[in-house]
Amino acid sequence: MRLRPVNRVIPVLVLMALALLWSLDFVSIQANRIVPGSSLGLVAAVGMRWALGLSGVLALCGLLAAYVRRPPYGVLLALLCLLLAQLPLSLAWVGEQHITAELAHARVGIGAGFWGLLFLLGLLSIELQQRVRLHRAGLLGIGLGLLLLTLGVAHLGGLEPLALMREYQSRRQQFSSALYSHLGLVAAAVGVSLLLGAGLALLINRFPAIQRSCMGLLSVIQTIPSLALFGLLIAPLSYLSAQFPLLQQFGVRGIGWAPALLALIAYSLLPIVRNIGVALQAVEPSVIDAAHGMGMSPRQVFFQVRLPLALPVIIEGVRVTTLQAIGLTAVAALIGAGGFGTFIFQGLGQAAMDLIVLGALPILLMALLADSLFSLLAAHYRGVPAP
Amino acid sequence: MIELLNVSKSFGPSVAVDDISLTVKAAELCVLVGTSGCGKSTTLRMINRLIAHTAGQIRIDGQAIDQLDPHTLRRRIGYAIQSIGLFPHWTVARNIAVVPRLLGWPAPRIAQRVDELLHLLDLPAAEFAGKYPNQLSGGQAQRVGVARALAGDPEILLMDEPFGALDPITRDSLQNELLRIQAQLRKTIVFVTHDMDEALKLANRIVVMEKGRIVQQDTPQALLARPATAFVENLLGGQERGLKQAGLQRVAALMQPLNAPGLRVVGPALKTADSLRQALSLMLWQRCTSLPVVDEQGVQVGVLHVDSLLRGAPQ
Repeated sequence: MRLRPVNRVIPVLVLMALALLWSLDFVSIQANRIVPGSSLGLVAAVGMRWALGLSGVLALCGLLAAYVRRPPYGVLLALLCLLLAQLPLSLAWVGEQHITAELAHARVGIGAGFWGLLFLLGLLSIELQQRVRLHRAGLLGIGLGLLLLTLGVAHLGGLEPLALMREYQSRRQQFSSALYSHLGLVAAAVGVSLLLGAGLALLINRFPAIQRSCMGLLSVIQTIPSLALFGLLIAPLSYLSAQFPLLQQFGVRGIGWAPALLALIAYSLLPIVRNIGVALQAVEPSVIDAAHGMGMSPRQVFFQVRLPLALPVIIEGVRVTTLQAIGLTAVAALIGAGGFGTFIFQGLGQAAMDLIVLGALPILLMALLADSLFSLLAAHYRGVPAP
Repeated sequence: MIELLNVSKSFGPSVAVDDISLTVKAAELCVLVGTSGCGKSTTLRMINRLIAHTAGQIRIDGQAIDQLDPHTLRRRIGYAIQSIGLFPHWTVARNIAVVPRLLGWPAPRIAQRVDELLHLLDLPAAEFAGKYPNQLSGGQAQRVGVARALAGDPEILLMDEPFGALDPITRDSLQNELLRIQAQLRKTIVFVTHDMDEALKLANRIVVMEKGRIVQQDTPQALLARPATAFVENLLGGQERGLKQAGLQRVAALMQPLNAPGLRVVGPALKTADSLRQALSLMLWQRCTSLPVVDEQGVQVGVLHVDSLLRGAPQ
């Protein structure tokens, strides 16, 4: 047996996961929403067998990675999927074990040990993705599979005792309307700023003289704190809607979606314009020269050569903008724009951690999903294989 | 046939090309040579109207080019440039097909033409058609560049330092390739380079340019024999002119043929297609005054004496 580990990352992550699992609370049980809960460690929460099984699989991963001459990364990936899949099941198992009929309002809070394990398994999956040379789509597939499994367990009622689910159950209506308004605001902001940004970038391309002032203005907007910009837009918009009843009919008021959308567009323009501008400029001049020399018309040069070559960078810009808009929309809840931020601010007001998580978790998932979808799209349009 | 009559190009106050007149006959390989900034590239790019000339007239087959639609004109003229300019997002086959597609050829004819050109440039279609430009070596990419320029079967080929970025060995083999293709296709080629050796090797006619003007135009032999100015002489390499001239002649011209059928030669020997420069080098290296000359099969066909080299005539 070799003493020097072959792969160092995986054993370190495994050791950290084991340490967190065995030292921190796995879950906590509250009798109702108000009273403080009692914390349970791993063994107390899921029982000795589950705890040993989980730790055993983790340790096996660490040993395989450290002491097999050519670590079987495919097997490790399968074990990782197993570890991820047991996460929602373990929560359901905890509910089964600890929430009895007489404790009808009792709830299970997710503890630091569980979150720690989830985080470290995430890091492990990134390491393994690189080792196995798994396509990005594969990682996305694993994530979606895990999400579906969790939703499935939740649908069957297995996660009913979770505090998170209890908060959700009492806010089903609000949750779906928050989902729609969050998605709607992000899509509208990115869509509109893509159109405006493309126009602006082409204008700058045509008249380079306006570049400095345009980019300067957009950069200044970017430096205004988001909360301040949302607030600043309230006054002019309430004035406008008071002056023009037609606007009021469309729901344009000092608070609500209108100032939020305007502010989101203002923030989104800079990354979009900059990426489109840079992407169009960065196309090799000799390629453009050759395209003209072959006898392409200016239209053909733009649509067949310049735009396709710029597309990956433009998509990259849309990706950054979308992530930024998803995050900013959470703040927009403060001026009544709706979205998942509503839950976060309510939770902050009531010191209800689970409510905050109910708002933050979907935002995180949306961001991860948007990130991987746009990365996949950019990689697809980059298209050219490595030399 | 390409005719330039008193053509000038000025960018604002600075004059890039100053009143030049030049006729390139059909099937001629005309090389424009000069230091950078002498206006040779500008001259080339005026022929396919990538740059508009400001005075004079340019005619192709008797027709003034400013009366033609620039895109139609460019589709009729093959164009190959130094940094190749292959479209990185398209495969080799799609790159070569650019002009035929612009000309609206039917798909089967395009596919056939692409195959033909890959074959002509010694790029096996099975291996190369589906590759992307970043998967090619410099020499392969440049071959694709030449294939692309030839794709629309143009009468005229404009080449702007196409081999400038290649290493000497690859450049040499591509120059030979171009000569072979030219012997087969007989296009009218205008070729720009700053490398006089390349010009001497390829050209039927060399046009030397300096500061936007034509200093001298002649055949390679005549240029070597009678450089018009000190600048031309300098470009020709001064004292190495003798060697350059020897580089233009073949061993076959000066060797003493054998009367009887020869034997296979083992050891140092010259081939009939070798240049006199190579012959001289081999003699210096072997420290001998005569060498056997062999054919492709290695059978002796003649003898070359150093005296013939010096006199410039067979003994």
